[in-house]
Amino acid sequence: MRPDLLLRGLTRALLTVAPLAALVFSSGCGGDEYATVSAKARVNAKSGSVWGRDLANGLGLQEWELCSELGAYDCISEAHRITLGGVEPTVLGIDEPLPNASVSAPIAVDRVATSACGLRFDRDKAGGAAVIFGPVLKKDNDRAREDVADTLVRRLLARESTKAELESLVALYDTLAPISTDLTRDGAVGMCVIVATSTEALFY
Amino acid sequence: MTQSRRDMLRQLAALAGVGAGASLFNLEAIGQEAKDPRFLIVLCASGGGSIIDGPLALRESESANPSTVNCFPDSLVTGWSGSPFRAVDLSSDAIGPIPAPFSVKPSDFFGRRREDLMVATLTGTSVNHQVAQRRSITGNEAWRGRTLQELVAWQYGADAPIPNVHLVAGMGFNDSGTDASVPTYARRQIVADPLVWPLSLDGGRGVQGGLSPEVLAAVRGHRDNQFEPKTRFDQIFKSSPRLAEWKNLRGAPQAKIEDLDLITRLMLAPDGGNFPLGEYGLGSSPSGDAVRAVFPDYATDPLHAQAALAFLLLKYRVSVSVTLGPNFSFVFKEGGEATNGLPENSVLNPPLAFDFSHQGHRAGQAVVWSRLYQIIDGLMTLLKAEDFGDGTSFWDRTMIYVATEFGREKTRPSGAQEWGTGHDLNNGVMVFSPLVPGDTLLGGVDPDTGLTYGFDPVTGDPDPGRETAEAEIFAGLLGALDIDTSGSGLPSVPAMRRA
Amino acid sequence: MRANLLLPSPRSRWGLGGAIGLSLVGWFAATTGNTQPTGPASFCEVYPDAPACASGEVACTACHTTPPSLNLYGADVAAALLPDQERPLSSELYTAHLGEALLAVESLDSDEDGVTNLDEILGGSSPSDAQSTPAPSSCVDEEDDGWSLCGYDPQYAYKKVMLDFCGRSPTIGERQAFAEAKNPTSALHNALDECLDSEHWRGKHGRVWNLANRKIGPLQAIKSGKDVGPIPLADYDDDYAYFVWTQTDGRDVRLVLTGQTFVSARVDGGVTVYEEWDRTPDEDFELRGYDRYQAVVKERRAGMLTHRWFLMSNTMFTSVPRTTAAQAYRAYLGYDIALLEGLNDVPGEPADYDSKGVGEAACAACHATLDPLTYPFSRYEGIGGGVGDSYSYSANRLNGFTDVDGELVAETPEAGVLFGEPVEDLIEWAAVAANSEAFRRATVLDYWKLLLGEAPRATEQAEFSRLVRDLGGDHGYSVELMLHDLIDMEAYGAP
Repeated sequence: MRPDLLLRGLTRALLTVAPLAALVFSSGCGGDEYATVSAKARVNAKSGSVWGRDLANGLGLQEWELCSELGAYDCISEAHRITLGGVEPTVLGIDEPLPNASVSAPIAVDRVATSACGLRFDRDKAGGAAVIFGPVLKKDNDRAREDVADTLVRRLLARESTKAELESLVALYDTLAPISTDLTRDGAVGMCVIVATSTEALFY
Repeated sequence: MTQSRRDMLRQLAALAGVGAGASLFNLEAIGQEAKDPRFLIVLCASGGGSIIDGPLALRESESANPSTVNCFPDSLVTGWSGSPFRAVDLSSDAIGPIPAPFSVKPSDFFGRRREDLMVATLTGTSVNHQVAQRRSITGNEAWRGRTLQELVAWQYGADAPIPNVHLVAGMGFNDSGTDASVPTYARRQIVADPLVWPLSLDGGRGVQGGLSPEVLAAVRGHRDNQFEPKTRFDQIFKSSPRLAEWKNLRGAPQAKIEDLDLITRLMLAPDGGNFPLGEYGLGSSPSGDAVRAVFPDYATDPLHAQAALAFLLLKYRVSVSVTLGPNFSFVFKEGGEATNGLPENSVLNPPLAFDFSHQGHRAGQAVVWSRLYQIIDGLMTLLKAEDFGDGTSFWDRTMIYVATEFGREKTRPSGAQEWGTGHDLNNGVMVFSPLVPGDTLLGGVDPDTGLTYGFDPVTGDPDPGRETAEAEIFAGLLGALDIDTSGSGLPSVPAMRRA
Repeated sequence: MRANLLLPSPRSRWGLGGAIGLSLVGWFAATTGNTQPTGPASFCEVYPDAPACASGEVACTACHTTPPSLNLYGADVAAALLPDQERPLSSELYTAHLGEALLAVESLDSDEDGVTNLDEILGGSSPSDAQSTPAPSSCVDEEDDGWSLCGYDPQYAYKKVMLDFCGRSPTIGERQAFAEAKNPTSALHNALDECLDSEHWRGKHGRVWNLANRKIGPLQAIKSGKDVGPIPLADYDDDYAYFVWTQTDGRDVRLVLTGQTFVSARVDGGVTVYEEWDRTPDEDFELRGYDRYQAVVKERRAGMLTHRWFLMSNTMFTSVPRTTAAQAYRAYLGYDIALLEGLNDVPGEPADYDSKGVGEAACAACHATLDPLTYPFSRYEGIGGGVGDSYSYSANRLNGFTDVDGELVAETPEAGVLFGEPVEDLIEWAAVAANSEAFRRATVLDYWKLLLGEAPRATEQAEFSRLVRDLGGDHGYSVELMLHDLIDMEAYGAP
């Protein structure tokens, strides 16, 4: 082990002995010593409105324009409100978010993300300052795709991307090439949907 | 969270004797049962539906206390020779304090449907709405807190995409059971809006600027298998039950739903108006005309929409258990001519549904029962006309259980034709089904007190010294539905099963 | 008085569980006295140092899935508890011998995860869950990936604070600024302060607003005021506004039960503004009309308990309004009598003043607590039936019910009993309630479940108990100060 890492590890070990009592109730620190997973394994689901807000902020859209069913029913606040973790106490009597995810929740999430990512792409293509998809609209090559992938992670997950993540996103184009009739759009929107509907985007 | 077979069997071993239902843990048996299902419709008589304001109505001439017991002038009560049931056709110019005239004629309904009706008396154990509602579907936790709906979904719904659907929410009738061994697929799914919900059943169709199905499938696969596992978040929280549940839903359950084109089959709205389906590449259900004919107010009456969707869910083998019913919201039909107050029959559901009896017992009971009879009638019509595929109809294997939390007080101020009633544990339940003895009353009513009494659970003979318990009703319903209850410790109630 | 810190579990009288469950049933049937289970306290007498016993009692889920159903550990304990004794066990036998049974299964490994039951109990993990094992004695987080997995992670906590309270994720720029902050703790609390003022948190239909859904039980069909329903009876917006007001800006949260003013909420430029007001019934009637006015005079007000919507929807037409009292007990003190929680029999009760037959043995088990709890509520009019104006205070209210409920109902006292303590009227009831540990616990639990998604785990009991204690101590009954403390805890900030 590198000496600097060893020192860092020892320092952390000394500093973390005291609060260890809270680190129980799961499979522990991923083994005997090194922490690689959460001990608590507890995540919260973002409500539809919170996820939608993040999506809107990340894509540079307004929340109300992300998605509407049949052009009339806002996906998050109306059509899929309860499915996406909302409440409606005064008429439906749903006082709290449903304790378990609905079977159609992942499908509804995909619908919203597809609509929103598609809207962002079409707007970037229509002209004016492109927010996300400018590089692939200029020249759809690997470099541009990687730029877009990086932007998507930075904007939708609010962090730096990793090489492995970028590679996996760009690899989508290889999968789509045989089946897509508009690879530039499908690839770009596809990468956007992937990031926007990943567990990291939906939970915290 | 998915539960491995090993885990289920382990729990079975650990809790031996507490109630297994052997075939529920036999995957092969479950597969067989899925091919020969029974269907359960739980129609919630929310708020406390009184059985003696329904098919066990009392005539004044029968009672030693006609002016103080809840009974009706003989002229209002219709009966049928050889039948234990009655119906009260009632009209009034108000529903308690609500100036809303109404006129109901349940004799039509009972005249046509009593051959498939069994009433079983019972005495409940809670006067709290939420608690008593739950007990009506769990038999007061008779079998490890499992609900009727979960048990039916468990045994018969292994192949169904969404076996246990609740079209009404927020009540004890919708509670999840408390037994962790019930598989995830059998647990309740809440559907908040029957008209719009089908739009959540396909990931791409109808989405403006969406992806083709093939592309969407590829994108999903890439997300699930390539990108997500590489994120640190997913790695760190991989043991989270919530994430595991989410990922499970994205797999087989999602595929089942989308492969069946449910976005079309369950779309009960017609194309046009508020639902421009065609403009978005969507369509109305092939059975849409049929259900809309029976439940024409689907767009304005939530219970019509629920009932229409309930039928579609069964017809298309999406579900094997559907729960529906009025909630406590006021439902009012606009239009119509008002002569004194609101237009006649415009109040579909008074506030608090049956619990409006606190303010206006007789009228509240009459109006809400009438609405439920209409729903039952419509469902029976549709189910009887629907071929199961083997020459039998869907109705031949369906049970409509009218669940309610409790009855109402049996007495009234002397001679009153309208008064307020509180909750009363003593009551009975209606079950419409060819699986139960038809035109049959299990138990009886004392006309001098209005109290129901029980029956011999084996022979069905009335027994004035006995009160039927919630667990017995629960067990009897399960027996009629042919649910394997072996090892459960539940009482045996063969009287509730048609020979 | 026993508190169930986890979600209330139905306690069935149809005991099909193991011996523990059956003894619960047997005990219930055998006595009409105090019907509280003794298992949780007995467990902690044997294992006082167990993390799960931080509050003095372990949760029922230590042995049960949902009582009376047993989990794996509970099944082993049940098998070891007087195995030769016929079931159901009496309460006395159960209580006397439970400790032996617990000791007898210490060396077993009920969930077969390689750790004995004793080590799990003392280590703070669950002996009935193979996925749960005690943490190793040391933890090293080697990965330089921006996550600290061996304890509190300020970056992780910051993102959570933003999502929980502001309703959005921090941007990448905000995260970088936080990472570079000289004092992350200070930065975190600044973020919380800012987010506590967000519409997402405190606005109309925000998180705190929706926390009141179960307490208020809105029904649009009978709402008056804005978004009026077809039969307007009362306006629950008054209740929601008051509730949010008591939970924000450092106010004393006890006002939710003891306050004697009202609050309105209006949205101004996208921001919800809460304004306290105090009008007499006549003044409010003049201003807002019959459908909305608050009818209780100031000296008779007790926070949410005497708001018009609460009286209308719970008391309605009832002389002795048990539903009203039960809802108050459930919503603000965390005890659901329908689930046999918070039972505290009063000798000589129930007196059954309204002749509802609650003196029967099966009914008295709950009504010996519920009825004396209810009496102070009986002077507040519901929709009708009494002698005074609807929703007002009337000392002689019950005289209006003698025709319906019999002459005896007029003798119902106004004085009652709460937690074994006599109270003269509802004002005193509210004061006793608001100053109780039950109130603090219920308040903290509301926010704990809102922010962490579940009730406190066994290993988190100590942190939870500290928050409950400090709400009435260092936090001066300020929810916001309590939240500042909560976000510093491992339960919140450790991934």
